[in-house]
Amino acid sequence: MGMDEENTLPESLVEKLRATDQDTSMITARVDREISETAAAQFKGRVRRRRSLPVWLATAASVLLAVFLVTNPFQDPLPTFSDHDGSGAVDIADVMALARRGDTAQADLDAFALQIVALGDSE
Amino acid sequence: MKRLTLIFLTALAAFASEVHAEDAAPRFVAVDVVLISDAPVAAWQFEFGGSSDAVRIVGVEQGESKAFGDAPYYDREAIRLGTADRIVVADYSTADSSYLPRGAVRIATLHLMITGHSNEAIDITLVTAVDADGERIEASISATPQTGSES
Repeated sequence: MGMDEENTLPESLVEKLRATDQDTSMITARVDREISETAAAQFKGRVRRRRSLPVWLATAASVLLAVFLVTNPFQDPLPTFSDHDGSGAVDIADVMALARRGDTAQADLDAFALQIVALGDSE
Repeated sequence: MKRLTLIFLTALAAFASEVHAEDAAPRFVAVDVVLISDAPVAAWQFEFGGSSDAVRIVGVEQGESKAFGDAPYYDREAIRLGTADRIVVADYSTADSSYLPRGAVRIATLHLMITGHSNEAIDITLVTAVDADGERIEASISATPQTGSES
C-alpha cells in the first residue's frame, strides 16, 4: 500500500465528517450574558475556595522556607575556632586555609582571625 | 621545623633609657618587624611583648608588601585602651605565590610608648609562617627600632 493510499480516507467517512462539521449556532448577547451570570453564580463558592488554598500553601511554604534557611542541614557550619589545616594548632594559617577554599564569607574569615589575635585580657 | 625565633630587644629599652636617662616622661618608639624567609610567605603570625610595665603597644601599622594590602589583624581594643604590654599580630594573603613576598620583608611596624627607664627584655616570637599551600616554612623574625623614630 502506497503512502497516498494510506493517507486517503474512505469516501463514506469523509461524507460523515462533513455532515458533523456544521456552523456553530449564533449566541445572542442576552444568552451569553445569562450563561455568564449563571456560571458565575455556580462557581462563586469554588473560586473562593481555590483562592484560599494558595494563600494557605504560600503561608506554609514560607514557614518551611524560613525554617530551612535557619537550620539548613546542607549548609556548611560557620567557621569555628578550630584547627582547619590539621597542623595541631589554631592560628592564622587556619584562616588562610578557609580563605583559599573560597566558600567562607569575608566577614566570617575576619571574625575567625580576630579570635586568633584576641588577647583576652584587654580589659 | 624551627618555628620559633626569639630576639630579645634589650637594645630597645637600653637605647630609650640612655637617651632619656633623666626624663621620666613617656617616649614613643616605632619598631619595624621584619620577617625573613627564602620561600614566599602567604600567612604569618607573631607575638610581641613582655612583662614590662614600662612598655605599652599603642599602634600597629601595616607592612610593605602589597600582597597584604590591609592592616593586619590584632586586638584593636587592647591597643585603644593603651593597656597592651603584648600583642598578637597576624595576616594572610590569597594572592598567587608569585605575588607573595620573600626575603627580608617588613610585615608590620609597632608603635610603643615607653615610660620609666626599664631595661627589661621584650621579645618577639614568630608563631607561624606558611606558604600558599599552607605548608610551614623556615623563617625568622626580628624587631628593630627605627633610627630617629623616638619622640
